[in-house]
Amino acid sequence: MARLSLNQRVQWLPLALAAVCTAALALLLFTGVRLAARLQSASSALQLASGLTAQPQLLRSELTLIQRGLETQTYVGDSLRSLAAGRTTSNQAYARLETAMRAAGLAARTDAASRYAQARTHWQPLDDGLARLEKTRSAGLYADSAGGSTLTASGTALKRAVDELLATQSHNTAALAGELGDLAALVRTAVVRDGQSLRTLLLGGAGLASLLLATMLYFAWRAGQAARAASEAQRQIGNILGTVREGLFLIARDGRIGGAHSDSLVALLRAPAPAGQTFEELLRPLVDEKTLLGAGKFLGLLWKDKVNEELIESVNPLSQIEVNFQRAQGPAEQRYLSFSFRRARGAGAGTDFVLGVVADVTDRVLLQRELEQLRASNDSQSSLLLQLLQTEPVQLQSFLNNVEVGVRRCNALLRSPGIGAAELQQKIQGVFREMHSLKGEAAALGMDSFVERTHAVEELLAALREQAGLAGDDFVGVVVKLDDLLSHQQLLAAMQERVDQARNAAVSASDIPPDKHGDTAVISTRAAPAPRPAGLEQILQRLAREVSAPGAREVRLACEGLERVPAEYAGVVRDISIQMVRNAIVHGIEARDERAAAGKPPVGTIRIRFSEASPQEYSLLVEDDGQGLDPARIRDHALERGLLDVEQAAALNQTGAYRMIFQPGFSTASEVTEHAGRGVGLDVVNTTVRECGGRIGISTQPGKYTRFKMMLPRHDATDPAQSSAA
Amino acid sequence: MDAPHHRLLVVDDSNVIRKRIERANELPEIEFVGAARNGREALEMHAQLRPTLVTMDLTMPEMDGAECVAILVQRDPQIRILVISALADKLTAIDALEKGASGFLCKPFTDRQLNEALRKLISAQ
Repeated sequence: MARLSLNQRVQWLPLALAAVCTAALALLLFTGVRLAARLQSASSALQLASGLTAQPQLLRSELTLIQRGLETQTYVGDSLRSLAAGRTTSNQAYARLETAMRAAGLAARTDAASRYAQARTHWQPLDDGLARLEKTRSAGLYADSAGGSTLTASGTALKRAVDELLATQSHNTAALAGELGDLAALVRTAVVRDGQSLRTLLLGGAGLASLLLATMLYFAWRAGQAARAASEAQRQIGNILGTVREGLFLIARDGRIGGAHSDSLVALLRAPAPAGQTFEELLRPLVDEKTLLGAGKFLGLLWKDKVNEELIESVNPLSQIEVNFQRAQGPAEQRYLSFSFRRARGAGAGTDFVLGVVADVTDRVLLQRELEQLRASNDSQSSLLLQLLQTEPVQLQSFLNNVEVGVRRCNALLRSPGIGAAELQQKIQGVFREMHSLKGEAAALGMDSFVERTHAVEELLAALREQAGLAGDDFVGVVVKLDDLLSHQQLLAAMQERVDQARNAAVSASDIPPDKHGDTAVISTRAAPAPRPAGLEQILQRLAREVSAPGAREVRLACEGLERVPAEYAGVVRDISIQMVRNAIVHGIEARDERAAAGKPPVGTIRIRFSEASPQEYSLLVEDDGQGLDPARIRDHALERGLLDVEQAAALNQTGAYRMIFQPGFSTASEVTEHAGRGVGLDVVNTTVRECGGRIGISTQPGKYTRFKMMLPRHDATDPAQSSAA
Repeated sequence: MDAPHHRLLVVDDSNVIRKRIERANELPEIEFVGAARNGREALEMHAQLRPTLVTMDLTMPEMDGAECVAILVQRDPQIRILVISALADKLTAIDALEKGASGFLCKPFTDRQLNEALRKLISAQ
């Protein structure tokens, strides 16, 4: 604002100067014109006065000529006519002199006026005399006689009149000449003075004109400068609008886009000529009806000055829009545009127009999306890890086993023969039961990722159950989901293994005697291969505590050689021993009072021993001093579970009965518990051992013990040596 | 002379949100005077309690927030209304601002965001 007023003052000064100059010049010229007119009149008055000054002398000479002529009786007609002409001329000259004097302003001057009046007074009698003279006839002045020519009466009268005029007016004529001479001198003075005034005036005028010229030149210079600045500004704006990547445009109150906008607007919106269109027209091909409506209302808010601008921007429906540009061929091109708006104010209050800025944010949006996905996956990884850390390792281990077993059983069930509707329904039922129970278990442990996945399978199954005309192919979805569940289980198992390793490393480190507890010692301990068997014993001890019931069913676990398990069997041995220990407690070891009644020690014992049985094999021995296996009970249970028909059951020998416990779906636990209610375990052990190329042997004595002996092939003869060295 | 005093009415159909706003408000110049479950109730309570500030959920049964905003502003042009709504319904928010709401807060919000919004609301001219 201050800059503007300064500018205005700077512009006003020369303008006022020019105006004053022009007015003064006009006044000067007007005065000059008047002065020139006066000068002209004065000059002619001077001329007339000078002319008149000589007149009396001329008249006198003429009169003298006539007087002589009459005396010598010569012709005087010409002189008389000349005298008359001289009188007329004089009278006219007096009249013109008076007019000229009045025009020259001399009449107002008393000295000039009185001289003139005096001159007239002196002239008047002369004039009268001359008038009388004229009345005298010029012819017949002379009469011829014998003695020569003599004057006639009229001649005599004329002579008398001329003589009288010469006699009486001689003094008058001299006075008249004097007066006229003085008048002429006065007029000359006036002329000189007026001439000087005019010269001064003209000099002043020339000065003013120069000043005016200077002012005008200054104006012209300033105008040129302003034009240059404007064109420079225009060029710069053009540069900005041409190079800026955002689409800049102005929206007027009537919604129309202004003529000046950045070049990229055309490229961004793929609109040939945005200027002159309304914003709505511009937007219509890009967005849906709802967004368009919102944008219109939003724009309306921008014109309401009392609504906070920041607030308005927060509800901008065009802050990120997805647009699809049709291409000549191929699929539409998808871009993301971001519009933002700012109120633009001019000098006055209120919003004059809205500045719109549009940018292509496709790259940003896509990157953001990628980051979000990454973050989500990181989140899920870390939440998985959190799940792992929060869950009791033994429970988790058993849960993961259950999942594996459950999925394998489901897969076996789905692969089993039978494509009839009833059989398929039975399969659905079976898988559903597995999933449902896994889901319950997952929920109890807070393993949300498993809850989701098992639930997804349930949903699929529920849909299949309702479906008429089921075919084998309909199960593909279920199989895929089960695979997903299994790979998730494997991921978790792998993660847990690493967590265990970390834990074990920490435990080993803290086991080192204090004097060795240096950094080097810690590092070397951590660097030791296969540290997990040391941890396995702890896991098993914890599991034993967990599963046994203090006071009712108690167990003592004795481990041997677990620290010698080579890395290749670390996972297998862990899985097997966890399963076997749990199995032994739930199914083998009797309750405390039962044991007491049978004369056994009240606390049951489970032994686990890992050893290198031969250069070719490792052996893992799991033995409990519980109730042993009862072939009759096994047979009954298998019948009950539908694993055997009556004939098969009758034909089952003792060894066959023992083998039954490795069958999938076999469980001898009569009540459903957290630990063994699902009746799975031994079949998994069996599968695992077989997958490793090993075998399982059972020996048992009812009421005394059950012993499982698993033989696992050695793949690397040097491995155990290294392992035991560690 | 008392410090500037504002009387807050919370309008939201969720009991949890109502309680939360009441508890989250930590500005000494704002006094919680009541909570309404929908627009109709808000109008009744406005007549009794004469609040100067209102937090307004937009999607409520009986009478929706935008409509209620319009009526409240008509009754008391000086009233300041903070519209609270999910980010998704920008259109509704635009509507509410058009009808005279003075502020806008997106759900979900933190206590800090709520207090910030309330502070802006009472400091706005």
